[in-house]
Amino acid sequence: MSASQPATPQSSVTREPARAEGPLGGSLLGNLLKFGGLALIDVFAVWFVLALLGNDAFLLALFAIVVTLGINAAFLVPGLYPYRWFSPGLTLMIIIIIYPTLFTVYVAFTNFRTGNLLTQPQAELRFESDQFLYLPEGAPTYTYTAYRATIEGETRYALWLVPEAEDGSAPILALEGESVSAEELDLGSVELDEDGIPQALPGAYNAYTPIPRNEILALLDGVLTQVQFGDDDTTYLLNPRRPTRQVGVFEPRYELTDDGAVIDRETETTYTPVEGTYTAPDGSTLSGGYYVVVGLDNFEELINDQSVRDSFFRVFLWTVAFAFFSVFFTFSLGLFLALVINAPFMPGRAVIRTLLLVPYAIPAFITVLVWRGLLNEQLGVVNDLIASLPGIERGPRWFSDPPWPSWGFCWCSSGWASPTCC
Amino acid sequence: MTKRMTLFLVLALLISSFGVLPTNAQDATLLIWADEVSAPIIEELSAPFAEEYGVTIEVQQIPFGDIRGQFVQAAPTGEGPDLFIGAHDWLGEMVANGLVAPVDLGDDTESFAEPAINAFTYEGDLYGVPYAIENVALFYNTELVETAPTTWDEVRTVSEEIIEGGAADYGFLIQQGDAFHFMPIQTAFGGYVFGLDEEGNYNPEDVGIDSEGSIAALAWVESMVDDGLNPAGLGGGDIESLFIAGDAAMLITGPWNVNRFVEAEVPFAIAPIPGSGDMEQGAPFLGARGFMVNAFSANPVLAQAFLTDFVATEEFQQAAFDAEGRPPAYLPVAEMVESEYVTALLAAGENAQPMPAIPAMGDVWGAWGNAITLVMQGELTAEEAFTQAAETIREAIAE
Repeated sequence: MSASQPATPQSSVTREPARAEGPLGGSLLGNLLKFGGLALIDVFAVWFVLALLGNDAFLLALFAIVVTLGINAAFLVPGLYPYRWFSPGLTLMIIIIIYPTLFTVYVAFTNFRTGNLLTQPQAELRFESDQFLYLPEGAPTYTYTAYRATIEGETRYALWLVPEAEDGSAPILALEGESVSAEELDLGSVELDEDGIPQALPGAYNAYTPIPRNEILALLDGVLTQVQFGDDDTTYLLNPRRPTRQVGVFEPRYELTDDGAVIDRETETTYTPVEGTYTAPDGSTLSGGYYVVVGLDNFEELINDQSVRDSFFRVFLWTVAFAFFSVFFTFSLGLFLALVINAPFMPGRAVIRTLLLVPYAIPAFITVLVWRGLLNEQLGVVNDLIASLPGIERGPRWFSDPPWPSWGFCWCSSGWASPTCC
Repeated sequence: MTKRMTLFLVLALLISSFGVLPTNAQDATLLIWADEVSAPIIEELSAPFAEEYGVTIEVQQIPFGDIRGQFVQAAPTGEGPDLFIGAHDWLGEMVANGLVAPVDLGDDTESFAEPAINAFTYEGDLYGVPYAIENVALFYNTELVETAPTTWDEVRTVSEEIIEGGAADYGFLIQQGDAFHFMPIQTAFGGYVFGLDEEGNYNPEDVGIDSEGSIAALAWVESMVDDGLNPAGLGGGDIESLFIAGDAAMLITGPWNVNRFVEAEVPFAIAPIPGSGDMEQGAPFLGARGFMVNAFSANPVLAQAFLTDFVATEEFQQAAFDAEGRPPAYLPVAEMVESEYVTALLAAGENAQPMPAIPAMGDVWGAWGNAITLVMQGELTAEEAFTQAAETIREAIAE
């Protein structure tokens, strides 16, 4: 496939000689449109694939690559010219029919369920997040006031920590990487508010000024939670559950090991993933497990467990039967009506045809409600009529006595509205 | 040609790579999912809050029933909201999947009704800040029923009198196969769903569907149906329509119908659930609505601050009550309520029990409701139906 080649044999089949000159034939404007459009699609596709890979959605990424290559081939390879017109339809079919089908098949071989809903990276990301901290026993907590300074063009933060425990211990000034006890500071020169919080910091720290309370919220995530206040031995962290009120010597609660296990440092328990569920030696589990491929387990359960098997096959058979009967019902009734109202001997054909549009014009949602009311077992018109017939005590319970619900539902959902649409 | 194509592809790659460069500039934005009633309140009230604190709050309106499913799908991929409004009985699923983060109200916990806090507590941790509670009660038409019956035997007698006297077509009606509305009758006869462990949490090992009291309650319904006082096959909507039309005198329903009945100008009052024998009043289920935090939020700490500094305040809780009309979970607001209906609902909910949030609840509701249907249809006796249902439930929980 080279642009300099004249019309290829395949392209002559399409009987479009003007466009058969290869990718760069045709007018300038046409080329601009074609390559411009294709370039846009490719730009989007590369972005999309990279985003998918970033989210570990490998299967979908693979599909996106195949689709993109297909579209490019259809536009750049002269022999594939006819596929240009197929490409939108094929693309949609692959993305919204084939991919979900394959994904569903894949899920059937995993233990995806409540408790194992995440992917492994998602589960691990969660354990590493800032929100899982714990307060080691005896570790102090403080109320805090935040300060800010611009030093050599960089914004620095500091916390003035007042112990919550009333044991007489002095407040602490926690700076990035170090902390100083208030006893070591000369507070004589600075102004204190009614709670004893300094309104400026003394001596070497005089560049710091208190951050107004209403600016704290915007500084929580990504700023105050990321700064290391205090040294490596004693790091002061915001309580993630009461971030505007409390600071403490919190520690990250969970630790991930190289082999994928999670250590709960508060209880010193190691949770090893068993089929994606973090399980401790004593059998207790952590929530937020991930799903793994479990082979044929689901199918074994389907066949061996009677309660699952019974309901599954009943529902499955009904799904098949419903598909068949609703099509059969709709088609035969529609054909019958079509023949009847086209028959020349039929009087009032125009009126009947007009009336037949009525169900079509009423939204299905309303139709179903109306039919539910008409078929109501106690108060519905249909059962009133049936019960008034001699020798019949009551009409069928359309929605609760098998097999009536099946027919009631079938009629409500498709029998009424569809024949006229055929 | 080949050169041009290479150039073309390189260009395409180059351009697209700009789009992929990580833009990790963290901005103080909170996304909240709320239903159509609460979304406007949150939006309106949070605007001054957002301005004062220099944060952005976006409220996305999603039908209440859809929030659960959409959140479960969206949260793990990072597409979910930072906060969302939900019912406490979603917690079992949310917590098992690790999708919600615990919250801590500190001393503010005491400002909330204890049942609401208990409802949002799962395995010892609090996972939501409640703003409304709801429970069912006995609603009765004051023109047909003079004083509210206090026992279920009395309900039966009153129903008989109404039907025989021709005052209305029906006395008390209960819909078919609805365990939620049946639960207060079940507890009135001394039955229960799950027993409680030492800590007061539901113990899924102790299923009480086939307990003596539960069967007695279902037998009471069975006799109502057998004697033609309560026809089978009625749905909740049917009963409400009959009540509005004045054709039924009593029903069990909740705060969600108060405005509808008021607008329809039905003369009605609300009374606690009748009792039976030693039980003074039946215990309805308690539902609580509140805010929960996405465990995968990009701004988890800000989300928590929003809860402690905005949602758990009297101003917000009062506004939420004014707009929703559901009984408030926040005690200072509950104390100032003037509506007789809300007060009566709160009284009926005094002994309410939180709806269990265990993950197997789907199976429990199904088996439990089916048993009631089968009895009302006359297919099984009360004892047979509840014995079978209890077996199914025990199996489902054991799995």
